[in-house]
Amino acid sequence: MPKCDMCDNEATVHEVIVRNGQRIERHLCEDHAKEAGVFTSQSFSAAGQVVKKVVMSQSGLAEQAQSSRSSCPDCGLSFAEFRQDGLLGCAKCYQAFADKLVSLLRRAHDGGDHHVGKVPKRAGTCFAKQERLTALRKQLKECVDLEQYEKAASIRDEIAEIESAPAERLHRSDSGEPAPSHRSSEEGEGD
Amino acid sequence: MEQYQPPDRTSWLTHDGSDTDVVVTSRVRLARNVAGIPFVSRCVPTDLRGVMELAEQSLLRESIAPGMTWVPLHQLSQLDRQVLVERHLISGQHAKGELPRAVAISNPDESLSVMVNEEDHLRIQIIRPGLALQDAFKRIDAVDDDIESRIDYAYHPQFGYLTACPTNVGTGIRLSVMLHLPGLKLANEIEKVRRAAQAMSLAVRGIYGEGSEASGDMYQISNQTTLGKSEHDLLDQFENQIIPQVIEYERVARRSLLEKRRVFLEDHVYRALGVLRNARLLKADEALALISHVRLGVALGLIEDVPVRTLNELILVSQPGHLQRTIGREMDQAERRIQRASLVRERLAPARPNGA
Ligand SMILES: [Zn+2]
Ligand SMILES: [Zn+2]
Repeated sequence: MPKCDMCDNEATVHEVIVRNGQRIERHLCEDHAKEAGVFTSQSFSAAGQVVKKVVMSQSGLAEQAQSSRSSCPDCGLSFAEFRQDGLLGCAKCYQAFADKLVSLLRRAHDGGDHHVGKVPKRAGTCFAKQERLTALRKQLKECVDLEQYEKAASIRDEIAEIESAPAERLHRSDSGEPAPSHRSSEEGEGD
Repeated sequence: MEQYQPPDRTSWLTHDGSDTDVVVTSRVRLARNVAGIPFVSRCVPTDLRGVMELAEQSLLRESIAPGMTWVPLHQLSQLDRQVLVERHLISGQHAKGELPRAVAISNPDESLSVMVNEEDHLRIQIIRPGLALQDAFKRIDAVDDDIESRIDYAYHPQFGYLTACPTNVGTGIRLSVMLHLPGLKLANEIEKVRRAAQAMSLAVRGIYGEGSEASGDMYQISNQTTLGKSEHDLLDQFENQIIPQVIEYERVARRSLLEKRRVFLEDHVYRALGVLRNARLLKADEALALISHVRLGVALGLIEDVPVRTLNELILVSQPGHLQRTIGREMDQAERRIQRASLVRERLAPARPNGA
């Protein structure tokens, strides 16, 4: 069991921050993660147990890392398993396997690969915000790659500003009971 | 053990609707999942119970529909589950297994049903007699909004409503129209319908869905595309293009039989009624095929003393689950054939003149 950087408890939150092109890793227990203001994403599988998560904050590298991974970071389903019974394991699978899914979706849906039609009222507004964040994170990465740190800093400020806007609802449930939440609006998740 | 007592007056059996000479029912289904909980196949029992609790709280409200009934399927007898499958209120897949699962049904009309923990957390369905897709869609859209006021759905801006199987992702909608096509069958022109449907990326299946053979000349036409096409475009394609076209094909086939092969047609229809009124042993498939021919006779005015509603009820009551439920006990296949024949004879008995 990896230990928390700050104490002897088990580290359940693993954070990777990229600052000025430098990679910094932090391993924290639940309490110290809260103290440090690291947002964790939790899911309710495994008998209500809190599943450990890799949180990649701010840098926006999460998306890239996920699509190259062969299994879903949230539910652990591998693409091979999906091919066997044709069922995805969770909402995050769509993000994790996005590249591979698109061609399959086009075949199944007469060329369609983008949703057209009804948008749920609440999740819809959440996603407008989410899409803006995704775009900004992409820009941020480009700036870091090009070593334009000043511009990167201003983008990071904008991201922080959007992220700190009050969430519409409570997104966490520490009791382990399956209270539904918008995964999408959890900060630091990078989706 | 829980029980499900089907109501006497089920709305979709009534035969009050448009184009009911050809269209039996219109169904609209929406697949939805709760955000933050894995899809059903990756759920542990705690997750499944969580979905059940959430669904029960959200669905058993007057604003969803008056008289919503909650049926925990994992606690229901196999026979009752079969009855629900035959009534198109749950799928065969949903009937199997002992993990926490349920169906919420509007009572007594059974027009709204919501499967909980089938392949997706929620499968919402509206069923209407005759051709009524627009109407069914308006209703399901309102129910969907109402549920969403309580439950956060899994949704993605590019992929839409997220479903366990990527073939349902996007709108998550499935339109299904059940058609009675005995004219096209007798004229050997069902292939024409299949080709027209395929050209529009639609599926043609039998009465009990995926993989089932068309029995009793009943065919279901449903969409396969859910991503990249809006609900309204799909409805438009169904109600203004494909379905009216099929209805017209069927009516032309019937008229042509009546004009050009009247004796052949009459023989078919009256022979079927004769067998149903006299047989002592009836197989389920045989009953369906004969009922289909009688239905055709009624639609063409050749038979006047049999209401279509009775025929719709007979289609249901001929199914093994309903038959055993009606007789009130479990029966083997041999006994079912005897009881089926006697039930059909009873319900189709010609009206006797006064005093007889
Ligand atoms: Zn600690
Ligand atoms: Zn997953």
